[in-house]
Amino acid sequence: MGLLHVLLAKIYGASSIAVLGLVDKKLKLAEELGAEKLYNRNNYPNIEDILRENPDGFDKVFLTVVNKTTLEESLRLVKKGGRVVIFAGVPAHSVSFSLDPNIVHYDEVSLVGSSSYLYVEYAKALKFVSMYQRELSKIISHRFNIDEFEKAVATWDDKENSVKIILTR
Amino acid sequence: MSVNRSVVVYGINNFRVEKRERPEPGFGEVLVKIEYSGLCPSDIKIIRHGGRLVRYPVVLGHEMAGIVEEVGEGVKGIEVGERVNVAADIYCGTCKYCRAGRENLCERPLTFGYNIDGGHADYLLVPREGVPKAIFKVPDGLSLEVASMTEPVACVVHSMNAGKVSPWRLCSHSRRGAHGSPTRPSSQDLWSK
Repeated sequence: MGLLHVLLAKIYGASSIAVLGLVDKKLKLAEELGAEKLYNRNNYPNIEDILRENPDGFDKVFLTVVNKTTLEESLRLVKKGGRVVIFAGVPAHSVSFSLDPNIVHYDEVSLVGSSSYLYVEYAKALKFVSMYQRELSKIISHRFNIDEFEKAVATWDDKENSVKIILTR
Repeated sequence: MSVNRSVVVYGINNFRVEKRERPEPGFGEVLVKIEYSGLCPSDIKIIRHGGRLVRYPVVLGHEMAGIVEEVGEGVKGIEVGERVNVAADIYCGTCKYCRAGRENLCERPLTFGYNIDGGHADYLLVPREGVPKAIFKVPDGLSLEVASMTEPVACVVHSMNAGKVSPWRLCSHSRRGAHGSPTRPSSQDLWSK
């Protein structure tokens, strides 16, 4: 979903896109889709190093992986007046994190959720899918026949190699 | 009887591919022969953790594209043989959120792969509540495989709107010929809601 955020952010007019991740293969794909700054967290374990290269922070931060670390780091990465979007869903009560209201108040940072879509957004998505078919095809990493569903699930767990998995008939 | 291979989830970490009967569309319903369906992280969450909306047993899958196989009596505007994408959610259209234009927060959604049988199967039955609003015709020239990715793209379109990423910046940049998207949109009507 991080890769789709790169593509859509580009379509929606982001002037510069940074991606923080753990897998070089996915970061390379992100670059192909339009991301300019790539941070493999294995090489950038400290958020301070990323902030040093981006001293103003980021206008928008989209969380496609939601856990205590990414939540707390997102509030350090976002700039004054910026927005943090919790995109990925997590099971109820499975994650908790610290929120400093000082940042929300004085920096006027917004923390919002994004769930599902409106039908009007769905229709728009279908137009984008049509226009960016070539880019979206790059994201498909594996195809399995529906009979091989268990193999597809096992492949999904292989984070180093799997991106989008499609079931064929 | 046509074979309808279906990924059925019976409970947490309890799923299998079964051969079921092909559903018969009733009044107002549409049967779609699924060609491609995407494996979503939400599918994995349903298998491993369940979810508040999930009703077992259920056929998994909510990212799907295929061809209309059969339409029930009373269906208008959807023809057998048409290439279609089916949205994951059928919003009720009547609850306070739907009436306020925030149908993604619908209080009574029918969601494929959660509380109604979904698209990891050979056939998908679209109940009449979803006909025609959850059925989207796939444009000529768009492969059904890539069309099956429309649902996650729609979620990210919503995410862009939640983040207030402004499309108008693209228009001004595009006019100057800088920072354009990989392929420039040909028409600004894309941005109109």
